[in-house]
Amino acid sequence: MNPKLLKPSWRKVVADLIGNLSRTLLVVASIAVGVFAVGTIATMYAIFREDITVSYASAHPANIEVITDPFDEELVKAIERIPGVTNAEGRHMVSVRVGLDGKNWKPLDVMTADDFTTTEMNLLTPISGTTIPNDRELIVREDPMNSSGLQVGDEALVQLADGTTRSMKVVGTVGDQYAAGDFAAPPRGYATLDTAEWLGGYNLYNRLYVQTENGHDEEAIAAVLALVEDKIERTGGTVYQTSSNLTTEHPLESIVLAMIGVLGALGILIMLLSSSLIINTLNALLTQHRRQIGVMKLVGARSMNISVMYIALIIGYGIIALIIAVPLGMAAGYGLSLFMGSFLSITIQGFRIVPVAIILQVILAFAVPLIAGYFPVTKGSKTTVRRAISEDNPVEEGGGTGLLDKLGVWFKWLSRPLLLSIRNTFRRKARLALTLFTLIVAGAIFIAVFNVRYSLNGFMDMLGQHFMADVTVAFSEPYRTEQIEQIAYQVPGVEYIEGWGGAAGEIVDENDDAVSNIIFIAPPGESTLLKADMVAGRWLEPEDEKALTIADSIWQTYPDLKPGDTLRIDLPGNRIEEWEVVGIFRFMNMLGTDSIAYANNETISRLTNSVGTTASYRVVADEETQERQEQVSTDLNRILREQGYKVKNVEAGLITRQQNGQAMNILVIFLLTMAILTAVVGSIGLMGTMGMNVMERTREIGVMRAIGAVDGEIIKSVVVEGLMIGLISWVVAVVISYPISYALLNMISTAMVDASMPLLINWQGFILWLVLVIFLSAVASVVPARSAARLTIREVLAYE
Amino acid sequence: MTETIFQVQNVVKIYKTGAGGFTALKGVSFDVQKGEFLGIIGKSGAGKTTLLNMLSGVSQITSGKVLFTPQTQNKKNGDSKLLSIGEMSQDELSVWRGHNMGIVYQSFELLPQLNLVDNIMLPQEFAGKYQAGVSRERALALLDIVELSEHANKLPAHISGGQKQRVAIARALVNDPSVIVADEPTGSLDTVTANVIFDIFAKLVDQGKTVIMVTHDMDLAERFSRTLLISDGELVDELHHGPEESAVEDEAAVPIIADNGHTGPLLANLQTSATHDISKPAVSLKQVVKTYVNAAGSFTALKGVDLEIEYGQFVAIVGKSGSGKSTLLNMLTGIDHPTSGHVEMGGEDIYSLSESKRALWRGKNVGIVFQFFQLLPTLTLLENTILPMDYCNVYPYNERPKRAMELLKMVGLEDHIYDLPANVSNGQQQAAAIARSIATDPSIIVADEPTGNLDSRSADVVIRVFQELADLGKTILLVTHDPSLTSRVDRTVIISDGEIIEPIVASTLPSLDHPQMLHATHKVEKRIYDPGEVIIRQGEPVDYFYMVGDGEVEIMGEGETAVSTLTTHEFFGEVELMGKGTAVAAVRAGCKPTKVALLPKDEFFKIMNDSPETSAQIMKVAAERRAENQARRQLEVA
Repeated sequence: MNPKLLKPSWRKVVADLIGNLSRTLLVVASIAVGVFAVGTIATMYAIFREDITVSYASAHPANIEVITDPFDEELVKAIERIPGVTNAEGRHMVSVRVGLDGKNWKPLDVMTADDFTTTEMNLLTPISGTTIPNDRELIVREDPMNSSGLQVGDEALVQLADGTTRSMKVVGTVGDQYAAGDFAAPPRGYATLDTAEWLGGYNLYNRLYVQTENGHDEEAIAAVLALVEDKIERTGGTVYQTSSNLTTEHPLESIVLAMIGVLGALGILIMLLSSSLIINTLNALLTQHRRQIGVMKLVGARSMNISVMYIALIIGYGIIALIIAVPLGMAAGYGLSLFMGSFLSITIQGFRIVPVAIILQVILAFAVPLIAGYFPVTKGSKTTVRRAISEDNPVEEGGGTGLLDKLGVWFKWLSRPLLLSIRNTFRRKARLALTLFTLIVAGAIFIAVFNVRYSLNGFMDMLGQHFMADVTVAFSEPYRTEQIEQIAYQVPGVEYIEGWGGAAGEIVDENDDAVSNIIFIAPPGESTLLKADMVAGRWLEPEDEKALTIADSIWQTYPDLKPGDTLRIDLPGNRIEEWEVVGIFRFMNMLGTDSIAYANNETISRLTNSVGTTASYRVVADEETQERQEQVSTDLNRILREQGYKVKNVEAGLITRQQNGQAMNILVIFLLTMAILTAVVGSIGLMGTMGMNVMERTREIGVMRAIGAVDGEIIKSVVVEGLMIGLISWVVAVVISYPISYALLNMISTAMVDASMPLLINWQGFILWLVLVIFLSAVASVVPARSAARLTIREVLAYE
Repeated sequence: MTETIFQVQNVVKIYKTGAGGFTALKGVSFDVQKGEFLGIIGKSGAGKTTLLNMLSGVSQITSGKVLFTPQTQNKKNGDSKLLSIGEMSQDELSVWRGHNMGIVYQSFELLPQLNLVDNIMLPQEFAGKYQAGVSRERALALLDIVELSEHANKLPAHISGGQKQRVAIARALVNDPSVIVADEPTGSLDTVTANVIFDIFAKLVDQGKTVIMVTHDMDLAERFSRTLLISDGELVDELHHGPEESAVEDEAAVPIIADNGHTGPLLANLQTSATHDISKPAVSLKQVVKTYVNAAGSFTALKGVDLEIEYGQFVAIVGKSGSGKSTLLNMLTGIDHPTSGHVEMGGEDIYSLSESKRALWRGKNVGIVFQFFQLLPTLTLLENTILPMDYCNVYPYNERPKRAMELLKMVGLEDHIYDLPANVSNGQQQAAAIARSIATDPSIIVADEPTGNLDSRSADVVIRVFQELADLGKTILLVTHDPSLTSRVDRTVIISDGEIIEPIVASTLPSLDHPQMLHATHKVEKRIYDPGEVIIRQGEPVDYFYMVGDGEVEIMGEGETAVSTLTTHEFFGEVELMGKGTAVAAVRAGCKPTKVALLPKDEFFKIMNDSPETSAQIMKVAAERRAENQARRQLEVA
């Protein structure tokens, strides 16, 4: 456009936009941060919501999984004939240990199938190598949170339950969306069914996968499941565990989307924080332009003319912010989607433009600054000519006898230079309020994130109280407790060992229909290796027979359940019986709909015909260090296998804890990112405010230098002011952080883990924010202060 | 028959201040005729800018009326409806100004982001008259009138102050208003440029515009078609009275700075000590040059200034706006660096110090009183006064408040020590500023137009304070554009266009204007005659006009006896130059070395020609001397 065709007032707008780059950058950054945050989250949400469904469906997931006794193809075919079943497949899962060097072992669940070329469900996503292994070849699942450490081309050493070691070549890495939901499960590998026997298993299936006609209908799936269970039982098999899924609903979809929603809420908050920066900056701009407004009114401009010009300027800022924030938001949203997808083995379809996200960003990029700028522009455009071209600084006109103005009269003991700084802090009250608001909210969110992180860690530690053993030993079959204890006590470092029972069953309703799975853990009555956090009722007592304590996730199914109520439990090989709920404990449910419960070992072992035997042992080492735990694990594993016991897994407790914490760490990383963004917004606000404060007091600074203030005094006066703002904001942020911490933790715990997590307050966040805010205050003050100290004082006096 | 364009009827303006109310205009009434070149003259603080603001609708009228006669008549009705400025809304006033009035301020008020053409076109846009090509052509035509068309696309920062003022005038004319108002339009300009500006205004008047100009410069009075004098908010229309004579004395008025009814010295109890080295001058400038370089080019504000001031002197540095006096002040206070030359204050080369150390030196050795007081608004008067002591760490900590209280009491502010500056009057603020300036007991006090914003009574008290400080041994440097203050100081330094005028010329020929004095300064030759040395022999040709500086000369009669003695500020040789050209009597130096400034005769005749007042003064003296000579000869003959 030919600039000569622009009217002079529009040329002024353009000149204001590009003439003062630092101010333009400040306003644009203020808008862009919020727009970027919202755009990123909105893009991520849209992409994820669309792709998670498509990706999951493309894997042809099974609707039903049944863990049962070994079975053959005949049962599979029989299942396929059940009405409502479209497809059935059998797989065999064998648990081994894998390593590269023969010393550091990790558990590995190897899923074996007849023929990977013909399988039609739970399809694997190729990442590298092949998805079709030959016999005695291994494919591993790529799982950033629980990696096996194996790559294509590795020669993996596989240790069987009996201690035998095999070597398998890794020929491919894959994604497995069906398996992605279970964070607690060991790493997974894939091999042929024939390989299963070679790995210590057998040439039969122990997992049944079924696809139903109405894979989108939970009730239809449940009905088919009932028929499948019935069929298995009528063939003499025992159903140990079942699970069902919708075809298009990834098991973690709701959790992930909820988490993105939480981040979105934070993004909106950042946008609101940035609006206070915009108000401050626009106020300063209009103040700086006061004289120009007066001149324009002097030569004929009305208030409306002025308003239109500055609204156009704001729109200009919005356009620039959009140009920056939209592509960055799209890229970041896509990038984050890829990142999240990698954890869940979700295939993201590819970069795309999300119109809704862009529309939202456009609305926010204009609406927020226009709303924020409404009052400054209205006030500025209504400035009278006399006031606008007067020499008087409105700040000086406003110096009155208010409460804050009398600070020095009260605090006579303070030095005058310090008093000057303190009073200067409260001079521009509206600007101070907005700056404090931004810093306080940013600080409160920052502290809250640390409190939430601490609470999550505390929760994980609390969960760890359920697994206080230093080493956990799992066998493929039960062994006599005395035998195992005798052997274990010979291993150096083993201080104590106890056997824990277990059983898998179902909670059923009055019609004996399965409501959910239930996993019983049965420690010895006198066990000290468990400390549950009770939220209702009491722990088990030795005389409790058909009694259980159950995880608080039961309230999702039975919201009114309380101690004293009963649940109908169906344990394999037993009739359905009422069990009394004596207590409810806090736990994390990331395992779908399975409930965790504790019952007395004597009761469970009797019901499972395993009195005096068990397949699971907890070991206490003489030192609670990871090195000791690992050493005991290694020695126990070796010795037990040497003696012919079929060891499924031996694992150090601290490593288990680390792995379970991975999911939380990802969440915390996201939260910390948002916290950093809020800190960035806060610091932009503080820098902008200090810059404006110093600029408006150029003349005063000149006077200070004229009456003897050295550079250090000038810098000190400005820095003290900045520190005052920072410290005041910190004090209030500390108070506000409590309800924010509570709300944030509540959101996360409800969305992700269906559990109530207690809020734990940690000093780290407070101290870190204090250090950060002091640092930011100092930096935000020193830079303009040094410029101010270098200002000439020539402009204080009239000069030609 | 001239038409009345403005009617000002009993206008009163009271400003609400923290100290109560201040009446800037006390019932002013006058008319402005169409086509007039009206000057409104008064000192700073007289109310002239307020009056202008009433006419232009910039300030609200407290009471009274300002009526404007629009120049586009309603032809149907045959008369034009009078507009009452005070009854219009802000937006209505903006529109009215845009169509009817062009305004030119001292500080140009161009929008820095727009080039000259755009600045000029802006009023057209707001008046709804903007057409891209047509408006641009008009702007260029106006720039041509003010001789700036080659700078059309430049930004204001890239042109000089005088050029900016011309652009402001062009902008004021773009909507072809009937009235131009100008507030001190030449205040920031050098004399040559100021004349150019003035000529433009005169031409506008010739073209039928009505121009109303506000200024403090009495010298401009003769250039207006009519002049109104204003003082302390009231009009005095007798032009030949000086401002100080015509000031309305209000016996009932309470001075804003209370002198507490003191008849004796105000600072009788001021404790001070001499801490300076009196063997060196307080101020020493040697060939100081200051050149400012900006986008508009370079401008030399000081052109090789030599100045020495001894301790204890009360010196006025006088010059018109644009003369370089404030730049000179900046050199003396270490506020700005000289481009070249040497500055010593109290024997200290202040520019060899770092900025920080110089600030500390300044705080301890120089007290500064600013025109606009420059008190820190968030500190009370007491704290403002203590602050320099804190920064310079002088006096024990616990004694500082006590000393500050004493100082404030001395200037009549004991009842206001806990007030913030916004809650006291201008005069009280200036008194506090003076108290602050002496808080660290500096040897040198520099005041830049300290009475510029004060009423005449307060100004008088301020000058008294300075006089007393000088009596106490302080060195006072008072920068002012008001020549009437020179009678109250020990010494006057006149600066014009960046050069110090030769004191002998200034004191001997006070009626010359500053450019004329400067010209004479360039032409005089200074000589020092030994005691008794003959300066002129009787009968010899006289080629110079002689001005006596330090010392005295004797006019010799017959028999080698001195018949009269001439001292500082007196002159001789004029009789000879205006007569036959030969000395009618011998002249010799007196009994001590005598400094004499010699002006060549052609320069003498030039100033006689250029300055009627000076010519009259010299001719009067010459006539008196001829008469004396004749009487003496007659006596001798008798």
